[in-house]
Amino acid sequence: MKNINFYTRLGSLLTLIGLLNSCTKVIDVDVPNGGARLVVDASINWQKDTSGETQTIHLRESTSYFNSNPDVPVIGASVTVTKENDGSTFVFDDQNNGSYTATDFVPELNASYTLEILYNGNSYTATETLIAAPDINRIVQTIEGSDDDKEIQLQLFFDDPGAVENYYLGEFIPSNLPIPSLAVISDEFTDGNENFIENDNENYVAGATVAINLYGISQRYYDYLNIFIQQSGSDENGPFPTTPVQLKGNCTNINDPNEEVLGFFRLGEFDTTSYTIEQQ
Amino acid sequence: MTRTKQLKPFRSKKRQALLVVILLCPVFFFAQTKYTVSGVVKDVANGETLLGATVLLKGTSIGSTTNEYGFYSITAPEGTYTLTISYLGFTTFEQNINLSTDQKLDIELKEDAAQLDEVIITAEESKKVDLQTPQMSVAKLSTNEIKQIPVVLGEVDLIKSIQLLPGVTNAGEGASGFNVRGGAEDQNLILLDEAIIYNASHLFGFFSVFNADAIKDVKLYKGGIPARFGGRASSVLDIRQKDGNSKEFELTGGIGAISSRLAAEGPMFKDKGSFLMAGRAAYANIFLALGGEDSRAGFYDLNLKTNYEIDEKNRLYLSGYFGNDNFNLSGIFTNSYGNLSGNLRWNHIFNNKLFSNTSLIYSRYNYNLEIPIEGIDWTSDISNYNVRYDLGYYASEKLKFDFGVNGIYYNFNPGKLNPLDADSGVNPEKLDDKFALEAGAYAGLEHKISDRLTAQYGLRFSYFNRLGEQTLNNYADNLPVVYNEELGIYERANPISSTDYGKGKSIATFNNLEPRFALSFQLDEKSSLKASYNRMAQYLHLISNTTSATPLDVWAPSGKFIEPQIADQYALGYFRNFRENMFSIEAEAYYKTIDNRVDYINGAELIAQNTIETEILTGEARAYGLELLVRKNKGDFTGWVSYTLSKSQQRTPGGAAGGLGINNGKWYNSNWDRTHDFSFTGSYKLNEKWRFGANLVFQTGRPVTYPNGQFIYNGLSIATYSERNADRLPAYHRLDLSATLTPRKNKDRRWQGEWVFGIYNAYNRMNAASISFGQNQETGVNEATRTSIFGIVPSVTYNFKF
Repeated sequence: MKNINFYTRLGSLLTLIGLLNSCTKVIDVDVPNGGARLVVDASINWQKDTSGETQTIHLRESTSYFNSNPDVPVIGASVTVTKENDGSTFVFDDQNNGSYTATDFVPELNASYTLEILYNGNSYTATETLIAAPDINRIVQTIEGSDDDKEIQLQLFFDDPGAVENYYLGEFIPSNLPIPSLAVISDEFTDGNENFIENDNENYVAGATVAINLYGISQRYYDYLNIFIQQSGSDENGPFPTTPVQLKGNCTNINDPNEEVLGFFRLGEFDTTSYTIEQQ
Repeated sequence: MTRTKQLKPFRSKKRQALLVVILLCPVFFFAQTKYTVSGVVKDVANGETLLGATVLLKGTSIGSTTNEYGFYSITAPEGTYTLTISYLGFTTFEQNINLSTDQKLDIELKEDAAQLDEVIITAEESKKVDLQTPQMSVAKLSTNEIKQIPVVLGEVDLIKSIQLLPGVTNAGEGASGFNVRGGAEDQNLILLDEAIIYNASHLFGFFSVFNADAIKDVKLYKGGIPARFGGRASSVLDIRQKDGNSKEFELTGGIGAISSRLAAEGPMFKDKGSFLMAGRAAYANIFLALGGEDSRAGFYDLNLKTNYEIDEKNRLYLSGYFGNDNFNLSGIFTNSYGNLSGNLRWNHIFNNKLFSNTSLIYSRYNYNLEIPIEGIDWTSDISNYNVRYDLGYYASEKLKFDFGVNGIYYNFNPGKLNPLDADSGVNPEKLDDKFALEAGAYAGLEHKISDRLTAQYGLRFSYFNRLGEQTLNNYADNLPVVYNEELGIYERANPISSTDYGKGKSIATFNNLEPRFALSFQLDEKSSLKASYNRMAQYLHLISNTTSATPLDVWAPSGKFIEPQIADQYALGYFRNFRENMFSIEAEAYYKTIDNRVDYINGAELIAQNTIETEILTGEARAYGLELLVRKNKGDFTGWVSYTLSKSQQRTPGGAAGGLGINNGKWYNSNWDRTHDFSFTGSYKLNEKWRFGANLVFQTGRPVTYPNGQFIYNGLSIATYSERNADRLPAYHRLDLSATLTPRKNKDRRWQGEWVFGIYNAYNRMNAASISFGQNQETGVNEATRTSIFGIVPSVTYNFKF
């Protein structure tokens, strides 16, 4: 149910009842290795009220699952983005560390853009639309659970425009943790109302600051992130896990459509704020 | 728009019908002077009718078994015979009869002298494999056997017990439902006194809803399913409730770690009938400590039954079940779900050869979830009205017919969303109600062709009509799911228009002929070969893409976008009793195919989904295996060893939607595929005071999908996956032990008590219920996390009878 993960709820309950004895343990597992694949980490993020002219795209290779150095940069590719409505092309310069940067990018809401990557004699491409984001109304801190099982929860409130399907991404970047949290929702059941995206984390502590970004996203990217988040392991699926599936993004190799290309090319406007966790 | 569909007719239906007519012919040609003895077989102690008792004319091969209501009828040429009636745990009854006229003989069997102690069961004569009847692939357990099997927390569990028999598995500990011969959870027809039970689990699958105190008989048909059953592809679990003691008032009960039970039964209507009331409730506070003071988890069951004998030929039965689960997790959410069923039956004996039963049945499953923080109140339910009329005609010593009709009207409410309060940001929303009518007519014949060869022919005609009122979307080319060639993914199609179907108007109809066939050939006095074929049509689908079904999952009827599942199963078996019936061997091989199995596109959203058709593709499933069951039926030590070697797979090609299909259209292991499944169950009676039990279980691990790489995206390291279910969890194994203490002082008093001490998972094996892959939140390092449900779990239960 879109923004409400029933399974997560059931999952936490089960963990609760399984519990007289149930336990989790980190173990060693032999996993297969599907080989190195091109990873396109291409997010054009346009903060409200800025020019958005500097944008960076990252190209990497995938590694085996337990490889402790997963950041394998791809160097020597040619990266461009074309704005479809006026044909202007922005060149992203190779920074020789897997990053490719443009400083003349022109963002335009609802405009369509095409990414093109030339690498190792192959041409990779993807097309997406730049989606608008609403303003963040406020952040509310609550407590989920009770007694020993408490988690701090942040709710990011914003107004959803009515009579149109919208999809949103909330990004929560805590100062005290190494990785961000992502959450997506659709307005299917909350159309036209004040919506919120929630983020709970047992590692949130008073005093930590959390950078919070709210993006408008396309339906296709929403579908992608939905699977992405489910499979990121941050979600407790408990005893009702869904079978994990291949995560297909929107980048394809024109020369070999069967090549698995990881990652996604997307463009979004965003509103941002920062929140300091309070003593509860 | 109305469509009528015919699904892959089984060769030619006409030819098939003709075949049945020819086979039925012999009944019209018999002319020797023959007489019939008929009656009802009961337990002398409590008046309970005995189902499946063997009735035989000694020295001949003329015999029968009692039906679901204890009724039997035997026809034989005029003469003098010895009538013998045998039943598990009872002294065999013998009486000379002079068959020179039709006669009625009601018989009450006495429990074995050696079994004065109520709870002790030594399997007896009739437990040996029935070599003569063609019925095969049946798993049968008596309530007494079930009560002896060590279980988690001492909570006697019918469904967990059945899983110790070959061909039956489930998705793991704490998973609801069960899987029969590689079939899915939704392919089991679960009947409690003929009422359909949609969710047989308590506490999300830790326990099952059947209270053993109220149950008389349990039969699981894994194959060779008789024609009177229909509507599910893989199996029928036929559970009959006790009628209640018609001789004297009796109280039984127990106090366990999870729940307490109390059952009362006794005669009523001036000895013209009896009643049974059984209740069971779990203690909410067991879980208090775990989830904080505001958390509660509990369940209860109530079983009711009463019957009234109008006269010798007419008897009424009224039975009911009501059960519910309740959870409240610190006010974060509350959740409840349960089944309700009621059944009124009328047994009418037309004459000594013709038995009939009419049933009016209602059943309902409902689900409710409230999440205050989200302001959500969610409810869904499914209910059905079911009418059955079944007849048994005991034509001659060679022929026995059964035939009947039934009709079920379904009402599905897939979900209704309400804002919980004024502050809720949720808009009220109602998913479309769905309506359907399912009807069936069947005829079956058991035909004793010779002393060694017996055949069972059956044919069922089933009909399904999906009814309005409902508005359904139309899609371009009638494809709700389309393949995106460029990205290589399946996507939801956008509707191009919609069609309104008025109230009661047909949306889609289906009909199927379902032939059933079974044959037994007795090789010698001790062994026989059996073979069977059955086709089953299933019109309902449980929409679930989790490893095991959750109580939240909804049932979807076949209709415009979903076709009925069609199963074909072939089975072959060898059966042998040896060492004077002390041991028996049952070996079976089966092969099963299922058409129109629903599968889910990557990223399918099934919850609160009004247009399920945009999330699914239709494929096929297949399963095959070998089953071996060796039982020791007599002596102080009884028990069995069961082994199954099997494979269960599914495949979903893209079909009209284009593309290769789910998992590139390749066959992949189903979640319940288990290559090896071994179990040992034993019970040893040391003396009158002590009895010990043990289970040893070993299973190949559940198929899972492991990551074949990782990549960094948006600051996160994410696992990538490829082929579905290509890997496996570590093997599952455990040992359970139990000891039952029956105090000696029981003998001389009315109060009978016993203590059951149990240890589940005695060597504390940490079996993986799941292994999840993710980044450690604190370090950012990838890790694999194993979740285990039950480690070692000791328990004590006290049972009594008064």
